[in-house]
Amino acid sequence: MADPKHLEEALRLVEDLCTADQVRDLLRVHKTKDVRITAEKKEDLVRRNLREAITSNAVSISEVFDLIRDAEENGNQHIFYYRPETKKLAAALSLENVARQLWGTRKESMVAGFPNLTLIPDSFSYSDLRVPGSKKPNDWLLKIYGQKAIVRATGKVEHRPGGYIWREFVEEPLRIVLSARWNAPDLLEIRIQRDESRRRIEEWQQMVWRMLSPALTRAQFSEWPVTPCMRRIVLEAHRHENVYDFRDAGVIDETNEVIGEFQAISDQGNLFQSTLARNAVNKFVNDGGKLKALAVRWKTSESSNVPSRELRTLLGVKETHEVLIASHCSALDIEYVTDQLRGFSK
Amino acid sequence: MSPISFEDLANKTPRYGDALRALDGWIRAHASVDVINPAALAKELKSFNPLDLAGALGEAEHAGLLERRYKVLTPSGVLDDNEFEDPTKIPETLPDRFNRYFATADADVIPVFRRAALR
Repeated sequence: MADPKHLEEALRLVEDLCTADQVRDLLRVHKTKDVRITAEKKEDLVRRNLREAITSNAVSISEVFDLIRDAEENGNQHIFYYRPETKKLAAALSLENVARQLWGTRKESMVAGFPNLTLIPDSFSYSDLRVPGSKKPNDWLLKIYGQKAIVRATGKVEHRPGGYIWREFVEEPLRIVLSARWNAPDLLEIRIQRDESRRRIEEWQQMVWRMLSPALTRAQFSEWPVTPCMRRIVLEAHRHENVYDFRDAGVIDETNEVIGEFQAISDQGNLFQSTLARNAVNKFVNDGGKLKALAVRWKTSESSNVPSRELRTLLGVKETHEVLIASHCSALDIEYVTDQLRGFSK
Repeated sequence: MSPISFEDLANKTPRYGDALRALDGWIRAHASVDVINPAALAKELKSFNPLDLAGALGEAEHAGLLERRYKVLTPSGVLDDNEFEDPTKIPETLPDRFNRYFATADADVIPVFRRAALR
């Protein structure tokens, strides 16, 4: 049985982060154990059905943690890719070594206490360190939680006598989820949740490096640019029509003086359905220009079911080693994208 | 109770019967398209009066075959990825296709239609 405080926090996170369908799917797995599934509202589904299932031991708290992990760790995030400078370093990046260097003699107790769901106001803390899946035992994922008070405009504007305009702002806590994912054998992914402030994204990335620093430092890694992959993805599009298409592309000329953008008007459009657009982008790329950003839609594969649904990514968002995963997806979906990029980088 | 079909609806509302049948045909021919943009639809179904197409979309929505959603035009004039059930829930800023955030206050909001069965 879960610790009551842990349980309350876990239920609150499930209610905030997971969809009703995700909760129902978990309950359905245990339907033979007299678990109630139907509920009028999501709140009842979580606060009553899921709670009853946990307290009766039909559903384990670790399954609930997995639900939270799935909801908050995958998608709606920027991924910054890095490569270790040496093979020796890559070989040393085991979960065991990283945990020992991060926490020394406290390693066992720290890892045993994960996942730590507690947020500390205006602070960042380690939340989880684990092997994220069974298929890649040399991978690990370190998760960091943060909480910060931000000031947000509510959109309410009042025109008051005397020519005064009052605009309403609220101060509210922002929950921040950051992670470092070692994707063996050669890639480190720094994952930063999506935010409208670029300054915050950069600060949060520095925070991940700072919290990794007892084990590994930024200087030990070089950026892994996705721009060579983007070039191949564009030039070989006709050979991979079942794998991806793209809707938007940003280009820059060979002198770095002129930038151009191509966007299909429809949000579901395909840029290369226009012969003129295809020729123009290909000419830019072939004649010395570069791609600045590329919005790629990865199509579902009927044979492997990965990605589980079509997945939109923006490659080269602002940095050449940066990818934006536009919406929530599964861990396997992100792995699929990274593997595709690895393939196109060769 | 099985939901009404486009054909049933076309028979029930002869005023928009032809437009509803054309809309049904368009949806079948674009199986991978989740969201129907009335402007794009009118461009493809040129032989129909846009008002009849708008009426057909409205009837299909009323019958529960389609659901109305709202999308925002980015400063470049293309449809943003985000979709809203209620236009008052559109946030103050949204990211454009290249993840640059723009103020939505001055942006055009476009009604679009999602097939109810695909939710």
